[in-house]
Amino acid sequence: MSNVVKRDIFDRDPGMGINANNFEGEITLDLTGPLGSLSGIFYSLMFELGRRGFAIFKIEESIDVSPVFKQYYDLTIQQKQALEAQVKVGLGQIATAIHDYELVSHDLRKYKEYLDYFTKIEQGKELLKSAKKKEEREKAEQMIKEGMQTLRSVFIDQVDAYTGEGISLRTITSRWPTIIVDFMRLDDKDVDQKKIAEKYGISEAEASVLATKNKLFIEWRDVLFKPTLIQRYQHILRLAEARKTSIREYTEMLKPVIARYKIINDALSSAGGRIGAWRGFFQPASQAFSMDRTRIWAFLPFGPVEKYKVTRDYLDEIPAKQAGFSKIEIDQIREFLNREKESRTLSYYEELFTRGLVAALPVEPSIDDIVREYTPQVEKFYGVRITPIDLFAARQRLVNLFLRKAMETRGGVAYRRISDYIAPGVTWQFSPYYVFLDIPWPRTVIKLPNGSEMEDVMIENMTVQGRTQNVIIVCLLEVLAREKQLENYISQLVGEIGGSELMPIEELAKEQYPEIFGKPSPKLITGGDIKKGIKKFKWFLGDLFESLGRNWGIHFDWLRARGPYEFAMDDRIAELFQLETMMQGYLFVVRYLQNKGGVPGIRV
Amino acid sequence: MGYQLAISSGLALVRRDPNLMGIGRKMPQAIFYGVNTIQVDMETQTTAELFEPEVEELVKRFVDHLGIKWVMHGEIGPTVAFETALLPRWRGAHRRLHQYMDALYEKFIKTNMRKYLPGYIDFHISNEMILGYFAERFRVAGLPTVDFKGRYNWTELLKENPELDKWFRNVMLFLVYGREVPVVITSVEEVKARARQIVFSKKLRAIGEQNPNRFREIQEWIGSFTAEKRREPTNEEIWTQFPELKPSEDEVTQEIYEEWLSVSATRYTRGAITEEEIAYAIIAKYLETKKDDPKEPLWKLFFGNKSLEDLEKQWGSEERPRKLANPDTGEIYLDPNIIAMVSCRYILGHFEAPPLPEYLSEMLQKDPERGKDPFYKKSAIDKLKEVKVTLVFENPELAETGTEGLQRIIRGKHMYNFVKAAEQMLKTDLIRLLIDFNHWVHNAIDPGKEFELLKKEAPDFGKYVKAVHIYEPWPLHEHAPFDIPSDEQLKIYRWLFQARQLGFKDGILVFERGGGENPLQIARTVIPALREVIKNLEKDVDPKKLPLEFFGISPEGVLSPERQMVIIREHARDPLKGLIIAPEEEHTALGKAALEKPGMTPEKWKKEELK
Repeated sequence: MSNVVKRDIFDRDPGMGINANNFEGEITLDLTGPLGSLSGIFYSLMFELGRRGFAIFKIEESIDVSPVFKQYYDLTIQQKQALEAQVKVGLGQIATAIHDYELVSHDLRKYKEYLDYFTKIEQGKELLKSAKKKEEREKAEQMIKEGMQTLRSVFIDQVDAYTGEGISLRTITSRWPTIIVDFMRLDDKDVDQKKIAEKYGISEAEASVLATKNKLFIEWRDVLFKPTLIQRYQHILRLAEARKTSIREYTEMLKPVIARYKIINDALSSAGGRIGAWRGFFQPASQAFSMDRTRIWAFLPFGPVEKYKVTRDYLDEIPAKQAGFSKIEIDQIREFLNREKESRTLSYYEELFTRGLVAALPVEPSIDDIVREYTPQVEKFYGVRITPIDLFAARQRLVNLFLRKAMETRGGVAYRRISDYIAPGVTWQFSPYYVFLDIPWPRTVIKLPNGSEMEDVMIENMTVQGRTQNVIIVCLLEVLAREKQLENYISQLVGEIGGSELMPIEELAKEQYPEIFGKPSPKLITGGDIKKGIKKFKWFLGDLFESLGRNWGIHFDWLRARGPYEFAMDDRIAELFQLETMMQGYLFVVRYLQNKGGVPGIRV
Repeated sequence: MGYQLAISSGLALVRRDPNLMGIGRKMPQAIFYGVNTIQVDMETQTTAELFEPEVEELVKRFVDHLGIKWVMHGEIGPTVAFETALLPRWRGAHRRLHQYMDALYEKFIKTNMRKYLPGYIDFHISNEMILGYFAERFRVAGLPTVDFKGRYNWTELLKENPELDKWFRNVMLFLVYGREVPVVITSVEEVKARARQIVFSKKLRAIGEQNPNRFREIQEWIGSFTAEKRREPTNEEIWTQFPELKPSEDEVTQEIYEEWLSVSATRYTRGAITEEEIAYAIIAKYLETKKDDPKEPLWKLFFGNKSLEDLEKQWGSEERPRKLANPDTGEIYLDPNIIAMVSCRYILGHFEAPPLPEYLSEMLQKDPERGKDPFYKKSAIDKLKEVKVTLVFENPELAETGTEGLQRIIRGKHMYNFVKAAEQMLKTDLIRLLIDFNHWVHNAIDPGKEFELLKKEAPDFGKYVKAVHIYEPWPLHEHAPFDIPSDEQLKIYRWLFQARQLGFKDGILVFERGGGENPLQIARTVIPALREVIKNLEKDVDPKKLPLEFFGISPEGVLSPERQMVIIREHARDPLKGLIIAPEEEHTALGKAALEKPGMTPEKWKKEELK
């Protein structure tokens, strides 16, 4: 079962998709055996599913080990605790690195600010040399003036001020109220008191002070301050670069540790897990046992009898819009891919998308209303934000599955083309209909005080569904969401994303201050609005006739059909499609397990 | 010789400073300012500091042991208003002058300590309220006045000078009569008619007493005239018949004169005049009458050979001269030059007048031995010549708001005339001048322009200047220090340079402090500034060619570029302070790391860092 697509779809929206549970396609299996025997069956089944072409995804995993089962407990739960400590230390290192970087940045900014003044002066001088027009000369002079006056202000306030009462410029303004302004007006040539007095129309007494101060200013600026600034700026820049790298490296170093920590999912971390342990008959405080639960999704397309029997060596390339992407989404995905292109080589289909094209799936538009209807629920269930890029990625995964080539199709040669890959088993039929297996695998290991050990798997319940391509895309979105959950968890811990919607920090800043950081990326368009006009009227009539005709066994499915998928429930879905799902999926797994579990007379 | 730098002690009563209570405490203040000459400022309105027991011993100790030279600033204000004609003020000021002379005599001459005398004693040349404006006469109207010798019976002066007496009777008498005789009068003619009637009656009575026949003859004529004409004869008809009975103009004037004397005797003292303007007008006329007398050189110094009549035309016009005293209008016109001249005469009069009998008696009671020493009864000039201390007269500060520049003596030329007159009249060079730049500035007089005028009118003015008071030449009276360098320093140099051109080549430059500044403020700014002023003055450096050293910009100057550079080097990287990773610390960025090393103290690093 999908965690989000709970309805069968075709009943309310015939032709829009199928998410059909076969009534017979559900079973509970309880297998018990010696330690390791059932684990063997699990892996054997997984490999076999793969060989048969199933795409396999682990969708859940958790473990609970009673502390009495010390050896195992140490290897699992305690390891998680050790990882937790490691994560804490790692996070501390990142925080320290960021802190250090900020401190260095603070200094760097200050040095840069001063260097900017000198730069402004130099730029002004250069411009002045080449200036031909009056405006250019004025601009150049203004640049020199601005830079110089700022340095003069710094000199007055922070250097000359120490020469003391009655000597510093700041303290002799009672003698000459305009002396600071006069000092700001000086240029480097003003070093003779008589000329200054004449040039600026001030007293010779004031001019004598200004001449002296100007000489001191020039010496301070050129001999003392500027060389120090240049030298220290280089040092601090070096420090800043080193600190920046530290942050990146510490973050990357920590990610696998966090992943390891997260992958060991303590069953007791969820409310359900805790209640189970509390209510169940197992005795964690006194008995050595372990319980782990793995949930597998596996799916494989099938071709209904009269069509979709082909495989494709390559897929058609169609405009992304035709595949159901909106213009805004296309732009955003292209922008993302173009950014990615700067740091890595894009895959063939990623490159294709930058040109606005995608590989065609058996049914297009593949990103249809069903996908858009369920995407918000995926976001809600997994607590992640699904972006157009994720949508593209989920769809692309399906594309890639269709591009898998069995070795046989390549003449037994492990030939590989970019974006294609070789898989054991079969090449997928180019069909939008899938057999979908949901296999929970809760395994319990019990170690009794007398030394005997046993393993038990209670598959409760394994189900099989017939699904259409759009539901599979939703499932792949779920898989992707789960992966994203992990990455988000890591990114959140290391501070790469934040906010209630777990956005990248850059996006979060855009969201909070769009005027400063720019507009945030557009959100995914969800919940389509294509049911309009005539179509809507047609569906209304169909629904009405169906409800009336149902009493007399007359069906109007053709009138009700909304989409490209099969809508004839009784004639085709029930009789043809579900046969495939039962045969290829359900019966195969059941038989396989029975066979491996030693049930006599069972053949796969 | 050259210039000598001095500081003033300031007044104790400004801040009730115990360190300034008395001459003996004021003198050592010099050492706090880096100079060795001090101007001891006498507290306002008291002479008690002069008489402090054994103060001369303290003076001796400071002179001998600390090498301090001293000068004295006497009191200021009405108690030493030597220029006034008002009797109570004149007597007070006169007493003060003799007190100063007597105190110096007792402390330093009688004790054979002449060398410890102050270099000069400074008095403001004018201390009393202004004169010459119409309303001013009423402010002190009713106070008897004296002539410049302190005599309150004005007839004494008139008797000594017949020309003056004649002028008085013709011009001033009616103004004096009208003011001093409390009768209802409507005009000069009415006064004269009344006096004529009195004289006629007196003559008739005298004939009756001395010649009964003639008296009967007069009576019979009056009787027959009355019978015949059926009316009594008029005075004029009688005087036609009997001319000996007709009062002459002189007899009428004399009658009026006598009446003034007798009435004033009943109200004040005989011959009293109770308006200072009239006193000033009389003395002005007196000086005119003496213009050719070498013993009274003031008129000549002020007006040359011009007569009063010439001046009156100058003040008014040929057709309508403006009279010094106009009996027709009752107006007294005191031109600023007249006021200054008369004021000078009053000041000089104090040196000629004998000490007050009351003062002599007062002092004799305190010290009976005084009776044996003829010094005490001598005039102030005789005493001064014996004591041999220079008295300097200073252009005064503003006495009251709203009268800027109206002091009786304030202008350079007037002061010059005073000192020249003193030299001629008193035959002494012990009376000299002191110029206070700020006093001129805050009296709306530009010292630069004043010196320019003196260049023409008194080209040797500077020779009579003994000292100069220097402080902030603000247009308000505030004894504040000025800085080196400053526009004020340059301004003061220019003025002193002008004074030097007029002959002021030796003398004392006194920074006159108020009471509030910290000595350090002055020692750090004014003293170096004035040292530069003196150095360059003595080299006759033109104000336009002053070197940078003048402005304190030299290796040893206040604004020493080298010293500033050391400070700037130390703080050159201060703009980089406050940074986190590589901050500029108090001990430099390198110092931060260095200080973390064991054994490295901040003090140790401080020594090392500049190496």
